[in-house]
Amino acid sequence: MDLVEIRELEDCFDGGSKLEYRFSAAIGDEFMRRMAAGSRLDFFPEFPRPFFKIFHGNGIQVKGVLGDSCVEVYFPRADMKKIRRQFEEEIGRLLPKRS
Amino acid sequence: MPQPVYLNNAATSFPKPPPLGKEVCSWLDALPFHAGRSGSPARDPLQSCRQKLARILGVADPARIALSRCATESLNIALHGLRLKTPTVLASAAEHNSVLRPLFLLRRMGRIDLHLVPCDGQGRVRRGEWLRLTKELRPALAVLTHASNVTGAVNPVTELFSAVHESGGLTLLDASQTAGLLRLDAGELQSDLLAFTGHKYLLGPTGTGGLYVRPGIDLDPLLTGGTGVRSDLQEMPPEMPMRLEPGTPATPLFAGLAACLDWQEQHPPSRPSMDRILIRLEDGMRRAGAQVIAVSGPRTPIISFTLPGWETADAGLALEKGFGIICRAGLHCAPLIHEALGTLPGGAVRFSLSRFTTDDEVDAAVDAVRRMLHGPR
Repeated sequence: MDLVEIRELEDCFDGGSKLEYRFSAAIGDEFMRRMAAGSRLDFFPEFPRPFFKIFHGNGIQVKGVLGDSCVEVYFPRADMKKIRRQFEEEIGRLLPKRS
Repeated sequence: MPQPVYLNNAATSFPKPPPLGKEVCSWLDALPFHAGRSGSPARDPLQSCRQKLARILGVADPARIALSRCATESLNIALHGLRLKTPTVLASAAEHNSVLRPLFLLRRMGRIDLHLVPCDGQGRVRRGEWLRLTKELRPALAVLTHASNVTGAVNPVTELFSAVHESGGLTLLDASQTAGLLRLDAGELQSDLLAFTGHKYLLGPTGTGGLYVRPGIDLDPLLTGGTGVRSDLQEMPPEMPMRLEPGTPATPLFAGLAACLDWQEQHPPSRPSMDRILIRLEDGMRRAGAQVIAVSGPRTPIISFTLPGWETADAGLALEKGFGIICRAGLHCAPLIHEALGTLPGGAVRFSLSRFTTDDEVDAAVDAVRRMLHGPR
């Protein structure tokens, strides 16, 4: 599984930004839980496509549904460049390796 | 995953009438044609479209309708092209950014003094304030949306624009949310200029819109260029509509829009049926626990709401991706109205229906909201 595209969605009122990260395969339960490790996870498994929202300590929020190939990520204004770079490095490490 | 339910018709309508695709493709496959330039087809699709639009807008002379890419372009043509007697312009807090942003730009350029009339909690312009400011400021131009794209509240345009005329000003109506849905008559609505889009309730393709300009009003063109005739002139010809239509037109798209208008004339929408489905949705949403923005009086088929415990953006995403309910969440490009609605900073979720929306579809939307708020049945 690879990260194939990053697309800007919109700027937010508080100065933050929202981006869409698209992967080469559908997001599964395992990848979602890896992204959520050590963070708060709101998970709605009973929805037709289970919805999740992850609250990272640094203000990043990751939202999406299982079975979809992309997530929306909110970055707060403070230190945006730095935490975005850290997030993308972390995502690179968490992506399931191709067998 | 069940079939998607499309409830975003205030953004663009879906589905489209059956003849649209066939008509557009037939013009794409046909020999290129542009009236006045080359070729001599049996019928001019642009003229045919203009005639049908004139009937819908209650306009006597189709030549007073300039075709454009969208309502945004039409509004820019009007706002940048008017030579106003004074810089005073009146608009409302319910306006879409397609009105607000050109006005803010003109204000920054020092060309206008802008006064915005607030809305009430339903998204309708405050009538008393509008009338008071009209009398006090005597605006050279008043711009108003016919209906809010956030709440669907229809403004009492005839009364509000009559007051502007009585004080000597011109009027520009943004009919993006009502053309094809409500009966329009530019004269009855006291609209000197009327901007519309083809892809919402006129059911046509994106890339189509237009601007009606009352006889006697001369706009400076926003764009200049070739018209195929009067090529000896250094500037755009004075005749409408070519004065405002430089460049090669999107003939296949307007042929498609004309086909949609024909279809709509043969199959008029049933307002009672649409109203019944809207009420079914609204009642269901309230029972499910949604905080619906209440709108009384004339309205378009829109329900906007927030969900307790859910951020608006998350609710929209969960509805769309989790349940397949395609809707819109956020500010809806109308940032100023949300102060009156009490929906800042996140805005609201909007369900917007069309003549094609079914009972089953609104029931699916209500069920999704209920499950988001209360869990599985």
